[in-house]
Amino acid sequence: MNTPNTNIDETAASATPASLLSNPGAQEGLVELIEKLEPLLAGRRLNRIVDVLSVVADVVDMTDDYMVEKLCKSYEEVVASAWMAGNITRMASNEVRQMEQPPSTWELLKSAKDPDVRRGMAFMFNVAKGVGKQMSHPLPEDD
Amino acid sequence: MTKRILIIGGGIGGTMTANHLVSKLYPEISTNKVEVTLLSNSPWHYYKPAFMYVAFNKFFKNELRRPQQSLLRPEINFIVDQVDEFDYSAQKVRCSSGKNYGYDYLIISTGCIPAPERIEGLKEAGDHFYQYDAAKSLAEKLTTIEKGRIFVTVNFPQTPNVPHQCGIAPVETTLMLDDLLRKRGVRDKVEIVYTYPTTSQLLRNCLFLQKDTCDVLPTIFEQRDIKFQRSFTLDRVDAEKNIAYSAEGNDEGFDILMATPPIRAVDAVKNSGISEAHNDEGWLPTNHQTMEVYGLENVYVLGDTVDLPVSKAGGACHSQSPVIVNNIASHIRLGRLCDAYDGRVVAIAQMGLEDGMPLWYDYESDVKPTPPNKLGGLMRKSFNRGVYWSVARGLI
Repeated sequence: MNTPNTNIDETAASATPASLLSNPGAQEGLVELIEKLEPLLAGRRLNRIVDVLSVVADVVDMTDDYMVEKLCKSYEEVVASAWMAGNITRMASNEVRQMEQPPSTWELLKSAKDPDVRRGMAFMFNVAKGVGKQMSHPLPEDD
Repeated sequence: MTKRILIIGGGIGGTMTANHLVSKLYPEISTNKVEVTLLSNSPWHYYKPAFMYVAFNKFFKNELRRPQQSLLRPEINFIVDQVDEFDYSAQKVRCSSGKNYGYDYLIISTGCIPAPERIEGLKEAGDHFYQYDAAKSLAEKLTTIEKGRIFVTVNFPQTPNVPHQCGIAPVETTLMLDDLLRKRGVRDKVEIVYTYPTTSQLLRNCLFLQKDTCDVLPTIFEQRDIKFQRSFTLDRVDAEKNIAYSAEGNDEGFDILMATPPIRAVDAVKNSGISEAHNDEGWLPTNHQTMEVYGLENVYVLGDTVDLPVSKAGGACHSQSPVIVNNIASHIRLGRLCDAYDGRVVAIAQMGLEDGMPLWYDYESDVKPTPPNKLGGLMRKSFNRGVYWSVARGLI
């Protein structure tokens, strides 16, 4: 009574490897892969790939919520600044493109009546102030 | 009423905390409800771990420092002054300039100071790499020694379960020393002896302050022909005869005594009357979770000045700083604390001149040593040369 069951189990256990090993294409691919790896193994260069995996694993383990929070904040600030600059440049280019003639000097000055223009200019002056503030600290003396 | 946050210390702990506070509390800072002030006794910010590299001719002075102001967000008031006295009851500090600075929240990040003078003869006959001038002086000796014996000692604070500065540094420098002498072609004529004291935090008669790492060290040392000796607690040094005596009764001769010296808190902290540390070391009693100083309200401490059982290193500050930032932000906004430190320390150990080993541990688990490799070494070098400054700016 046990004989048929044993046969069935053996067949099931060996089914997957047998199909892979009996596939000539797969065997050829494995031989090709091993041939490719041989010089890397011999030159100890495959170790570097293992090192890369190890370092990737280390970085995953070393990263915590605080680091993710700081990195994401930096990412958002950079993206938001680039996005804002891109929007402003695109809108300004579109306005200028639609002008038949460039504005005269007087017309340029008159454009300052627009509160948004004045707000923008105030922003630019504040940027200048910030740059000046950052540059107002001379290099400390050697200690 | 503007809430004043005062940070004392312009090292990595104070700098990253100041920048992170501005980022976290920007809505309050931009409406003048909160102001952040950083007090430092130097206009320069030094990357302290690089002093170790100075001893091996790998860093020049200007490569390991930046003007402190250039690392701070413009919203931070930066003042160069030396704190002489903490007046906790009046919520103010008194400085060398005679000025007083008041606070609603105080963060103490004043680091620690090597104190080789606390062991007889060590200051005169020993060398270390924890300050720039000392490391430069050691470099002279390491680049000229042709033969003899280099003796490595590690000295723990006497306060129970408090480690010495940067736990892995003695191992790092011993391996770097081996590499340097091999490059110079004199390794076969110079004996290196690594020693460790009988008591290292909770361990006894080990070679490192954590057991798993201690277990792998003999193999690493034997591969490099580095001698090692347990239970050598440096007691005194005969500076005339170049002999180191241990509390256990041994005496060892040397040509160079490369020591991890005793350390202590800065004078103002030490004299503030709050510390319960042994031997007048000055460590502040620190709540393991909240990072508050026990017995004081709205006073926090991080980095080398704590009395926690974790490494006195930047990798500890990096995990302690966000806890303090979150707790202060939470206290201002919600009237309670919201975060807890789990003892996490993250670092990349420099295992010899070329290889590195990323490591991390916390209150619950020790470092699991992995084989050092060149990629880890490149990561450490990248950190030294660039990533560190982003960490100081609070970006990582």
